[in-house]
Amino acid sequence: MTIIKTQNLDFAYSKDDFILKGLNLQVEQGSIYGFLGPNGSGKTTTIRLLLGLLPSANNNIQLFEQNLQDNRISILSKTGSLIEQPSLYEQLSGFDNIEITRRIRNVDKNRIDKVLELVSLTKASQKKVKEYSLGMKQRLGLAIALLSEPELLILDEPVNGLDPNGMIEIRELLLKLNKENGITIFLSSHLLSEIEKIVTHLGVLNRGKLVFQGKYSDLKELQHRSATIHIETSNNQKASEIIYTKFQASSSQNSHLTVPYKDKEQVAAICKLLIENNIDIYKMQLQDNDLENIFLEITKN
Amino acid sequence: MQQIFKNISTEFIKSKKTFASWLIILGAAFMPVFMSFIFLSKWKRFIPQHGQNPWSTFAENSWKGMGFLFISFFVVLLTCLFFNIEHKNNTWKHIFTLPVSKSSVYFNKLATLLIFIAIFYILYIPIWIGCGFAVGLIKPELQLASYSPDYISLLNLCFHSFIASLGILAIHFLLSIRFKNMIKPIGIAVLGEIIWVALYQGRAKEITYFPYAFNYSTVNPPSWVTPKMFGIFPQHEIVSILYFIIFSILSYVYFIKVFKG
Repeated sequence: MTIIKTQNLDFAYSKDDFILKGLNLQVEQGSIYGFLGPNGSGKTTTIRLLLGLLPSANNNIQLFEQNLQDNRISILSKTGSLIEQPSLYEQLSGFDNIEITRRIRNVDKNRIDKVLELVSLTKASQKKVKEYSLGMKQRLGLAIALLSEPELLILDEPVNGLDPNGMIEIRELLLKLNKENGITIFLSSHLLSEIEKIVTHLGVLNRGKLVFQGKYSDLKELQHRSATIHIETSNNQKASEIIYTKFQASSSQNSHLTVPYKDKEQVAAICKLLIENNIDIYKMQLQDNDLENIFLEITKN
Repeated sequence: MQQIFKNISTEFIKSKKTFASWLIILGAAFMPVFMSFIFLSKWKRFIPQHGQNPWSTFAENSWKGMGFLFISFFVVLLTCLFFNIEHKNNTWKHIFTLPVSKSSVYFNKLATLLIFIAIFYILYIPIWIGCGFAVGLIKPELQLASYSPDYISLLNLCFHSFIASLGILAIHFLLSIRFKNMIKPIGIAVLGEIIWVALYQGRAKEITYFPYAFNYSTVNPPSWVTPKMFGIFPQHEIVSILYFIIFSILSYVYFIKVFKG
């Protein structure tokens, strides 16, 4: 089942100033979909559209295979969300903040203790929210989003501004919710490193356009394909010529050679070839292009 | 129906520990306490003539004080503070992602505000009576403890004052949705009060149509305007109801069509 689907979604605040252009999102049930993009690329606008906070002119957003515009209430009853900084009543306790949503969503009272426990806020539940740290507020926002046992969680930058421990806690919680409860999670971030450990799928947004969408493994494959072997030898010039005859590509720089990486057998073959030609190998190093660079490359292009 | 009560109850939770909730309690107590202070400090001026019920003087002074500026500013400030809870905490986006229609959100807000103002009058009644009797016990010469207040007249004035407040309530309901900055609606209210006082000073007949003047017109009908009654309501209270209907429709349309939180 496709949980989120948009078809040629456009959005502009003024006539010619398009924030989103032809966005085709597809989020499958049970996935953790990372929605990546630099600041100002249109992530929050997309999320606001998905939640009906902004009107979509061409009525082309589907959640749970239902049209959002016509089924807003039934869709929102199955969706939990957290947009940027959590919306909380600072003068009230964490418990009261959850209680407000509980009454509106008509959820059983014992769910409050369950979600508080889930986000490790049971002890702090009677404290005023204004005394909470940013991480605690983020977790409380998540508890409110989880209160009605949603089938879909939409989270806008859920780890933004958190310290490393806070990030790890939220990531572990999301993984747990996805694995144990089967919740589909759509989360945005401007940093790949923040979410790469948990996502199954990725969409990369740049200047309002989706420049990559697919499984996280597809992006890994892209990373794999752009990996290179750095080689330092006693005669880089000769080594470059020898490698070129056999593997087609190699480039010689002053200090080392660079060969596009294929597989580990290729590494062994290069080694053998150089030794057979009496070239001493000082260093061979696999240079994985990190995902952050690929992300930058995709968004740059 | 049960869900409507549940939704309205959430507005009461949200108002907990806010200045809005304190304003209802302190606002209800202010004028009775202030009047008690006046009666105790200048008690010789208020000694009733033989056979006269002293409560009528206590009521007249209290209601003139209430109607002059106090209730209008109370309604304006309460409306601003009530909406400020959502504006300040940036919670509209959360409310609009809950499975509730925007019209329900609107009517919950309006109903809650009407209930808050009703609570103000409900609290005012026992506090005012309590203060009167306390003054009577402290200063027996004032004879307040020897007589009883006119309860029917008290309830009647509370009801009519509530009706007279509906016009400015609806106007400031719209302004508080429109302006997140409280200063603007309060500034408009100050301007409204100044105009009202000027109309009063100038004995202008237009005072019947000016919403900020309605409360004072209820407790002290202007002598230069020929009284017109529509059933139990004087003309300005009917105008107040009309303001309430018109501005409620305007704020509803604005809230549903334009307001994004």
